[in-house]
Amino acid sequence: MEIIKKMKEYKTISRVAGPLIFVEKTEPIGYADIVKIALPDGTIKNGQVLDTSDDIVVVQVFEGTSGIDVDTRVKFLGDALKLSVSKDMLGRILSGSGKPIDGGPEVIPEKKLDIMGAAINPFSRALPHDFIQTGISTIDAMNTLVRGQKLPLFSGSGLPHRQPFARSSRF
Amino acid sequence: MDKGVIYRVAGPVVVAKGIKPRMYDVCRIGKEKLMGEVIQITGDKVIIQVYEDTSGIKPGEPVINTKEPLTVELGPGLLTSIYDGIQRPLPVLIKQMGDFIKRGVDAPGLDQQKKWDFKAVAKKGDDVKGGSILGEVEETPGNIHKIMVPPNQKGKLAEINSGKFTVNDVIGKLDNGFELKLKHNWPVRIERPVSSKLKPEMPLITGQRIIDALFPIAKGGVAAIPGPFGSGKTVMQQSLSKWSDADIIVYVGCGERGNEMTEVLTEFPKLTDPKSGKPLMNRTVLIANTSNMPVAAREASIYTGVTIAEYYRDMGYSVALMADSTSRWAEAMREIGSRLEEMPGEEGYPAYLSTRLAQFYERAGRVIPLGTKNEGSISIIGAVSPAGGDFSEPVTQSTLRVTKVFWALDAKLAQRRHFPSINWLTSYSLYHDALDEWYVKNVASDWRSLVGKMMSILQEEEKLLEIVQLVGSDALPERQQVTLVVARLIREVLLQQNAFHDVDTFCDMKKTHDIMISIMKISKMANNALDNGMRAEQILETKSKDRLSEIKFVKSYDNLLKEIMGKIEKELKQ
Ligand SMILES: Nc1ncnc2c1ncn2[C@@H]1O[C@H](COP(=O)(O)OP(=O)(O)OP(=O)(O)O)[C@@H](O)[C@H]1O
Ligand SMILES: [Mg+2]
Repeated sequence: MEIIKKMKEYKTISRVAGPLIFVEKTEPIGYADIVKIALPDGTIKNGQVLDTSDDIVVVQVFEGTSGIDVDTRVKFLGDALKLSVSKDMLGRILSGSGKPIDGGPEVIPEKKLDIMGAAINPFSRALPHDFIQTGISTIDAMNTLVRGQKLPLFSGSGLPHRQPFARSSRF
Repeated sequence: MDKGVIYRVAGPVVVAKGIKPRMYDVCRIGKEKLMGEVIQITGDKVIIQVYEDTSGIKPGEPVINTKEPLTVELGPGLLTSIYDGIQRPLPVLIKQMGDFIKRGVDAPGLDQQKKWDFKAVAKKGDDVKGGSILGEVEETPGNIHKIMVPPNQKGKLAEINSGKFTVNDVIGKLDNGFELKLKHNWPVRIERPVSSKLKPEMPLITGQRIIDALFPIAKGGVAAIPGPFGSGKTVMQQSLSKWSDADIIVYVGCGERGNEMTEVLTEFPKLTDPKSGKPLMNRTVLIANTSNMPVAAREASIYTGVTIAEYYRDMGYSVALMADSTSRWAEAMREIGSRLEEMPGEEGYPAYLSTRLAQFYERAGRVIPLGTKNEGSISIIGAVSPAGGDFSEPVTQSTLRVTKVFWALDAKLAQRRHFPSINWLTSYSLYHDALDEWYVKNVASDWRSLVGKMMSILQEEEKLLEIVQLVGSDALPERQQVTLVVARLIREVLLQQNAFHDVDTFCDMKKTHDIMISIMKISKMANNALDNGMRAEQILETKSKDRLSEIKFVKSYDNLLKEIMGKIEKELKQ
């Protein structure tokens, strides 16, 4: 939080459109940088730079742009979206942006990881071959799940896809 | 030096000012010197697609124009390699940046240290030009790599030496002072020139019965494999890479899964080429730009692949290039196009989509290369993954306009586990006429007529099945019930082929021919039996005809086939 205070704040939003805000007259801003947006009523929103140039910076606001006006202040944090992670996160309930919402204490980070991840070099992959027994016979017999594989569940609206999804945590 | 600054960054697209490049010049972007390529020039603004992740790159950072186009290094060491979309060897990248792809790393395409044993065949004083063979290197056991004069050079050989060289050592000189090396560079977006183009006249034997018999592709031909997800495109591309009788295979994994490249990497060294008896990996070059790797490099990967293919073609080899999947390539173009604020065409693809696809497939062909008389060829087989299996979408349609073979994969067949799931009614090949003579000379004189019979029985089956759906099979005349039996044999024995069975994965032309002959014999015997008073019902109940598919899974099948055919004959004579 310290660093954020030191950063320049801009009140130069020239346009708001859909989930985007357009900020003018900034110093050079990095592509994909993380943005904090402070509304006059004290609400803080988060965003990310989608397009940056000498003239204008386009920011996608994650929480939507409702309430944003020309007096809204914008701060560029100068880093891609990182998430604090720790083994203590196991057993906790977190919001979409990684904040605890179970009433428990903040997570003390062991590491900060880029949420965009990084591509695995295909040459350093090993073929998945450890069978995972799911206990769901149609999966085990017909569409065996293997460690390191992806298993999409296709569902229609109104179908009970939550049960198999919840069951998957026990695999 | 031509230096400028970044004006704007939007994903893989960077706009620079202050440089004066030519179209497709390579630029170095930002403090980390990321590699990019000029794709548009408008006034003082230069638009560059960047091959690496641009997060954190800011306006005002430097841009350097290298004044060179994007090139690949061509020379010994390509075979058995696995590259990313811009020919950086993936094993080298692991050494430099660990298991994940990071940015700002340069790695030459060829091993710069390795010494190759070069045997000169050209002599001092020879008149040489682009494509002339200077000598040979055994690149992998059994694969001779011909060292050629680069396409745009010519002169008298002032000096040429045999010996052990790295790709950068000078092996000789032309009288104009040009230094000859084992390698040369070539820009990926420019087609390598040839002496002349030839008409295709021999098939690429794929070892896949339905292809070799019903829908053949010529050496130098182009084929499309469109299919909905899970219908078997990748398995088909891998089977073709394994068993096609091409000399060299270039496999471009374009925007698909990393695990599939790992499969190729672990499997190919263990499998042996039925022609040479050597590991399949020895003739293979892999290019991997998986779904999560940078999108601009995916756009380039197809060009990198086809340029390498052309290089081996120029040595007089037949090359087969697989692209899995060209839809992901088109999506890369779409993503970059949308960042340019270009006017989108159909479904958001850029208006030049079909031109680009046509230009790519146009690089296939059977040719007399420059400087030699040994003909070479490139066959291109592109997978297309239309969303929802809808073949009317732009990528499939633009592809079909230029490809002459259409292997339509069918979700229904795949669900019934009929593999390969090529739909025999909608697929086609326009090479039958061109290849006819070859079959007569090299396989059997009745090849074409057998194939014609197979097709017409399958087409008749389709009509009969419609009737059966309405009135039930009992209502069919007996002769037509027998046709249905024969059609089922064609589907189950000839068309179905298990890519994962050690023997069935590959089927040579003789065996395919034997299967077709046997089915026609059974058809004849069954029809004779009808004439002799046997009921269709009884014919249906005979057991031995259902055993014909056993021969697919046996290597030396002659005796088994005789035994089964003998039993069928007995049953149908009773
Ligand atoms: N010739 C074959 N023999 C046996 N099984 C096959 C064959 N072809 C495909 N299959 C089966 O179909 C599955 C899916 O095939 P594949 O991965 O090639 O589909 P795809 O069309 O590439 O799918 P996607 O669009 O998701 O990439 C394979 O895992 C395999 O089980
Ligand atoms: Mg696939």
